[in-house]
Amino acid sequence: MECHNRSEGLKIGTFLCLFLIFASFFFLAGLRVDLITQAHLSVLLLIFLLFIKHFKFGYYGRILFITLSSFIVLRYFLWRVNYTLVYQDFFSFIGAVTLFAAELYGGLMFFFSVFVNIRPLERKSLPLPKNSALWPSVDVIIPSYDEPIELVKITIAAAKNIAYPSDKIAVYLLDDGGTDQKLNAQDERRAAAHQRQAQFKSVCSTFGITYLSRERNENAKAGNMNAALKHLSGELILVLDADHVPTVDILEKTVGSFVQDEKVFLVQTPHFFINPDPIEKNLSLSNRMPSENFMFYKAIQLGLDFWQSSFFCGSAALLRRKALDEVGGFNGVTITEDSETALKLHNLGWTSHYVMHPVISGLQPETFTSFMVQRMRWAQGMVQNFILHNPLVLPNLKIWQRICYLSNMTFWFFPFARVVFLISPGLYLFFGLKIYNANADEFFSYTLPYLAALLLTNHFLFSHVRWAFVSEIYETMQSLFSIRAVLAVLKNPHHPEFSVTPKMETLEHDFISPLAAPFYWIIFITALAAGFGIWQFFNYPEERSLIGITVFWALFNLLLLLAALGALYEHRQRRVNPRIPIHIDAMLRVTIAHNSHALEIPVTIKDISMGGGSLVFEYALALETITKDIFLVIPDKSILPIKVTLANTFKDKQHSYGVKYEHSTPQEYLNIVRFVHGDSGKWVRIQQNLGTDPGLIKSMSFMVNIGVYHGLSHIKRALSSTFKKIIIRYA
Amino acid sequence: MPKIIFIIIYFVYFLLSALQPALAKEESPGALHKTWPLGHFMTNDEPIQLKNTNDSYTINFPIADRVEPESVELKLVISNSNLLKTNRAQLVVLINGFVAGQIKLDPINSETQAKFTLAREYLKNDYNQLTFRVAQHYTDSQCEDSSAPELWTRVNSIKSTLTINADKKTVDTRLSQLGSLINDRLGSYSLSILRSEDTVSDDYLYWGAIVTQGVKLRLKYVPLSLNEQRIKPYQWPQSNSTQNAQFAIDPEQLKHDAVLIGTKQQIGSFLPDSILQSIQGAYLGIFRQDKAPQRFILIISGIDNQEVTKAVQAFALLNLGLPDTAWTIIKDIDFGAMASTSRQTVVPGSTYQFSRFGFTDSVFDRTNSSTNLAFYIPADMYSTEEAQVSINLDLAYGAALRRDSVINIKLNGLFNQAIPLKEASGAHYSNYQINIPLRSFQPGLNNLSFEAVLTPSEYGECSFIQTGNLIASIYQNSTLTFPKTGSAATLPDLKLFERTGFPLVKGASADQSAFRLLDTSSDTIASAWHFIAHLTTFTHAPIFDLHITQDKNLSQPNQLLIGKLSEKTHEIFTEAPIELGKLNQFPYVNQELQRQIEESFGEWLYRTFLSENSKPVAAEIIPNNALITQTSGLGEKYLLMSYPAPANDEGVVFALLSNKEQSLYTGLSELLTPKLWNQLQGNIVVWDKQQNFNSLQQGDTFTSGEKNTKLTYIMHFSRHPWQWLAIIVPLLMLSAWLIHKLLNRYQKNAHPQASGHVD
Repeated sequence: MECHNRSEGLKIGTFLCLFLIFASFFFLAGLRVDLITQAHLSVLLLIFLLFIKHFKFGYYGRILFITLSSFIVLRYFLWRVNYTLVYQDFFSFIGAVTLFAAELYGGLMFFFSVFVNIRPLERKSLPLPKNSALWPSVDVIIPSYDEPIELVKITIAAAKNIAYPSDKIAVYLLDDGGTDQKLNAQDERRAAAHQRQAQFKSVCSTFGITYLSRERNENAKAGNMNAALKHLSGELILVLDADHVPTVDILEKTVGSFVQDEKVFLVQTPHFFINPDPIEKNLSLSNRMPSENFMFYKAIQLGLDFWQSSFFCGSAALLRRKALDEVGGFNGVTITEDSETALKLHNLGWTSHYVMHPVISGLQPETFTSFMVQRMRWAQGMVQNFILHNPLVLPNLKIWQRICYLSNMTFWFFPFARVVFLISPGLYLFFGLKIYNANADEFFSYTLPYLAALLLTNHFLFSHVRWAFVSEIYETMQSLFSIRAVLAVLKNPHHPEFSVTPKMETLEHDFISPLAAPFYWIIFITALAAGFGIWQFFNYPEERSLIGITVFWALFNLLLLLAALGALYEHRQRRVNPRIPIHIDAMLRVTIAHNSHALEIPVTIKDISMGGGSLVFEYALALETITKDIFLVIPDKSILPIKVTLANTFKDKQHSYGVKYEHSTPQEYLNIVRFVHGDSGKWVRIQQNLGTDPGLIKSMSFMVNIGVYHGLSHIKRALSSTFKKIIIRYA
Repeated sequence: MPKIIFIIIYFVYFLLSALQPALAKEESPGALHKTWPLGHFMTNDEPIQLKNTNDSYTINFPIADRVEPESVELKLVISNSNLLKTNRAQLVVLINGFVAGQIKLDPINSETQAKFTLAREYLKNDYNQLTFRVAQHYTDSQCEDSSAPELWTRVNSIKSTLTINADKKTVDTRLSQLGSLINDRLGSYSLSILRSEDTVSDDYLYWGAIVTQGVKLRLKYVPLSLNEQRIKPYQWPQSNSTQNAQFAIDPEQLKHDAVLIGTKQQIGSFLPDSILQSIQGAYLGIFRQDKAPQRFILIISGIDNQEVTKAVQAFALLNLGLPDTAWTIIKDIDFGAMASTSRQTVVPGSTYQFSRFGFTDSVFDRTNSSTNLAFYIPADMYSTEEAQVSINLDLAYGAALRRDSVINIKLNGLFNQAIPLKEASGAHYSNYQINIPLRSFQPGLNNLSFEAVLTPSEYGECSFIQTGNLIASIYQNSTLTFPKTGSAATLPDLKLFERTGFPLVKGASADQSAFRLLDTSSDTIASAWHFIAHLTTFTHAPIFDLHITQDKNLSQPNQLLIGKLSEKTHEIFTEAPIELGKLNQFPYVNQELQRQIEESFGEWLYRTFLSENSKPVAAEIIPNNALITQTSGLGEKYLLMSYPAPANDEGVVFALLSNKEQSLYTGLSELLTPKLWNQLQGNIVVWDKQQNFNSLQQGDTFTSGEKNTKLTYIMHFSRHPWQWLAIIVPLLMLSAWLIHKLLNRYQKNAHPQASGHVD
């Protein structure tokens, strides 16, 4: 009883503390002091932010940083809403309200973001009991739709390599490409389906896993997995996308959470990709800066985990069967069954863990078109969730879980805000609409500190996972297409259909993405607005300050759009299996032809792929002296020597050779998969080596250079191609 | 013989000529000759300047309805450029649009004196327009710069005079004529208020105050000379000339128009039976004075005090339709329709059409280049910095103006911004928006003026320049929008009082103020009434809810103590910043206050974070900067001081004092002249009859207004940025610390396995 009273007292105390904090925060943030006082405050707080950013000060410093920047942002919005939304004329007012709504959305996302990321939880994976008899049984399921056999085969082999007692693990291929519906189709797809099914069954048989299919392709991936559930009996289910190749220690890193905490329904791990996405590839960002998905998997999921809200991302996750059964399996009302299922289970009181240790390696889309297919599916699915399973109305979620899920879902409304930010300068410069009612003094006292606070906060929280302005480029690129997808969902929330992201595409030539056309128009209009604005700047001195600010804004948009355009110039991609940069000292075991003596030559493996790798020798090989029986001996004893053939010599690097793996038995194939994809430590090292933050100024400058260079390259290519067409036509 | 006859005729002619002036001075008692310098009718004391090839200047002078004008004499002292072309330089004088005379401007004799007599036919009983129009050139050809600096003529507005010759009319005894009777438009107006009893009751004081306001409101800016006097029933001597006398009032006591106030019983002994019988309710009657029918006596009476009050209020209401009869009984007055603020005072958060402030559609051209919009802003309107007054102009301008044509907008005489008139084909804007920060406006009267600078697109010597297209209009349906504001003011502040009457009056009300007389001399009573009447300059309406008394016990937060200093009155001012006769820093001429130069760290800390004082600076070591603390009395000076009310946190005490040997009314009259009144500042002022004036700020100040926490903080922190920072930063640090602790607690509960990360 005493304990209960104490707990109640603590709750009331906590509530009072929070109330006092927020009340004083709001009150002070809303006080409209004179501009000079506001300027003093802004400068002082920004200096504080820089100071904390530089010296860190641990957890308290992080919270203080967020508190100070939140105060600046809140002051800005209270100023905006109280003093700048003035009716001047109908169209200006509509423009002003629209711009404010876009800004407000940005502000909301800022507060969601700082809330989610206030204290990221770097959870260590929990150890398994020493007695393996206590380990739960696991079903590994690999849902597949129409992925190529070469891709799925790797995943199957890797699943077979997973280190877990064989009596407690079973692997299933859930083939939706071989459903009765497809096999009995009345068109040319029928033969392809039959051929595919035969291949898949053969592979499953070879590796000793179970092939499952179903009658009809209903409810997409969720339906596929649910159909399989009745065949499964394991306590846990490991979900792997067809292109998500697990490392051998995937269960070792994840199962412990389920053993130690019965309320855990999910252990999610990050998606680690071995190839760049099309934007990284086309802007040559790959391996120079953190991959785009790092922000989510190396920062946001950690924050979500702190708030007991890390959610299921569709793959590379282990789920508790008992929990799944409670909600009727995987939920497929929306096309993002993963977050929908997690939301429902969180609502039932189950908890989730996020272990930030890459234990799968996957593939990203190769073209911008495929990339957009994937992103539009995510956008549509999350917006569907927002409408159909709004966290605000689910009864049992904790307040912080509601905020986290809202943050995840509302993020996908960004296309509206981006489009508004793109067109707003033109509304003022072309039509004179007064959409931002502030003078230069107010701009420098409120708006500029606000923008600086946003920039500094983003850099403070995410500089290790994303450089400055990368988000802006990605969002700008997606916004023109996602906006239609999101509008379609808003119009009809049950409308979207699941679209599988194409993988393992090859591009024979460089080409301009077919999605580039809208960017030409918007770049043309933005450039025109900027040019017109510069003319106005010199001809309307009475409005110079506002025009100057707006022109700067238009030029910033132009830079983003140029970078986007650069990313829409698709570079060729001939290699099916991406090369993974590594550094492993190994031995090449060769047999000397003339005396049959075996010889081990030290080599350094520079990169590997499922097909082969690049080796660097200390000296040139006398190729004619060695037999064809060449084996690559890896220091890791769990990997057997791999038979290779020397495929090519890189003439520019005298001692570099390309090798091709040879395998004739399933065991040899398994061994190669284990070598290429089996070591999670390799993925950790790669992640760690990807682009350390060069600082805010340098990263900004880098992005400016990248944007201008690639944007202009695209334009050059487009113009030259157009001229060629014209010449051919008239020749 | 013929020679003798010729000599006789010549002698008679000479005699008659010599006697003529003396005969002319034999005037009727109603004859009036008044002379003023021309500057009297101008807003500023400056010469009339006429520049360029064409220019004109107009002044307006009034002729009252109470007089019959005979003629107006105009004596002009003119100086002109000595480079003018003789045959092309001329000054024309027009009266009400008619040519009254013309003068050839002589470049050789460039100082000219001229005299004109404006005949009766051109004059009217109203404001008369006197226009000086000049045509002046420096070359005989058409090729000249019309704005050449050598083209000038000046009329000396001090030495040039205007004399009105008129006969006073017999008073028109109709109440409806009260307005024109009171404002005789001939300089200051004198009035006597007659008291029938020795005792001075609060009711009498109230009645007199209301009557004086009624008079002052009718006079507008015309100075009032008020006289309060006790009268006793007078027995007329028996003679033919006095047998028709109505009022038992000594005619020697009636030097001016007079008002007799009191109940029927109080004033009955002065009135004839015919009038007495008429007083059956709230009574207003106007009659000619017995000895001087050119002057009136106004009877305001009633059966009881309430009826007299009703009658004085009816008198004070300007727009009340008084009848065309000599007397009337007021049955009822409905005050329901009266607003709490005057029509010209703006209310925060409201939009007004220009026409609300008497602005009519204005056309700018070559002859008229400016127009003005006048309105009042509440004294305690406190705004945040960003608050903007939006002016939405309905505006049009002509085509083919040069691109440097503009309409300059001035606020209270200072340039604020310009509207460029750049469209070659002219334009009409129905919603041309201009924003002016509210803080640019001042409490009280504000003048927003629009001055058009219209330039022809054609220029150059020998070019034909037509100016018919130089035209622009601002329409009366243009609007003025005021933002919502708070109400707060720092008191005491005589500058604020000078501009707005605040805090003694707020809007059209004085219900938070009491006017206390320290003695009951006629001098003090007249002074109090006159002072109160002056407050109608700000209210533009009679202040009915005032409280005037001799009582010491007052509940109103604001008080005006008015009277003469005596031994008894000293004890009243123990809390005042100046206690006469004791050690004081008495206001006198000093250029800047001596301040402490060095300050300790503690003093710096206090000043930076807690005090409103600015950084100490060294004053120049000259005698005028010395500050002397001394014992002193008032002497021949008068004192107006203001300080926080000892008994009320929100109140202010005003004290208007003179020595008992001095005429307080004389001092007050000096104070109310624009020259002194406009100098009011600080919280203590002293002046004398010679208009020597000094002011000082001494003692505490406080902020009066809404008890709005937010507004108080906004005001405070805007004035003290360092305090704002000193509060914000620790509060944010504390908030962060609390959040940090809460997160630690949450983490321990939610993630016991990961609790090692908690600080």
